[in-house]
Amino acid sequence: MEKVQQLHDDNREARGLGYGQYADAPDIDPAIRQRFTELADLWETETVFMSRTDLAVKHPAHQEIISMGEPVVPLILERMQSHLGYWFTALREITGANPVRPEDRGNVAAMEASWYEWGEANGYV
Amino acid sequence: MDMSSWAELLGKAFPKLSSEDIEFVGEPTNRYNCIAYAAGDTTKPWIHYEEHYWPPHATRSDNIQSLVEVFAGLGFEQCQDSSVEDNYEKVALYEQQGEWQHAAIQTPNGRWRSKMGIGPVIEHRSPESLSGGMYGDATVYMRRALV
Repeated sequence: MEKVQQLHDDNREARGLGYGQYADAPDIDPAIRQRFTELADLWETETVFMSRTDLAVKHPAHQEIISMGEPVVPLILERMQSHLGYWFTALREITGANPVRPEDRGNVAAMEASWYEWGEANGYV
Repeated sequence: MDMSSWAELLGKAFPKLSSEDIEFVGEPTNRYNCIAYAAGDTTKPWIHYEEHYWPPHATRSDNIQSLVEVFAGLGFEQCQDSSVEDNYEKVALYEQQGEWQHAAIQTPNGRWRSKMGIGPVIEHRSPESLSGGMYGDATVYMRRALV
């Protein structure tokens, strides 16, 4: 257990995050949460019928979410559990990571699970 | 979101789609999209972009021709229109400025089914029901013999 915690802490240090910046249940600035929710609601409403994610991710609300950077990663992972939007592009662009295994590409459930596990391993969830 | 809310959203997005024209036949989900649904696959979305699945026999592109290749590879051939033909099933491919936007599939009773983005699957009267909105227009029709 201690080893797991140490790895967890090492990950945080590798990402340049200090203790308390993100607790295990991340503390989110209420203003950031509110703005994220407004943008995510707008994005999902205006792109819900789009068949193509390449068009949906160009929406200004999605672009603004990406520009908000690392603080919204826990919010994206949280939202991914309860909403239907495709958040893979935003997560990849913000974090520079891609935890999806090649064999899982295209399988939305597996891709979401990969990102959620990555979020847990890196202290975002 | 309940079905009346979906109907309201659909009506705003697709001006030719009346609420009487909509029958809901599948739940909202992001697990597959319209192209996959028309191709008979409800396990993954078919999108030419990034990590999504796109059949290897087709060019990975937003060009409408790429979507024609998708269905040609599944045994469809181009045909004249959306009319019902005995022993054939048809798909309608939508484009806007040369880029593919959507696909709908004909049912045996002559109506059409569409998976609406990450929203529900609906049945509608004709391909034209979804024209004039974000999908542009149905410009390509393809048919495949029923086995």
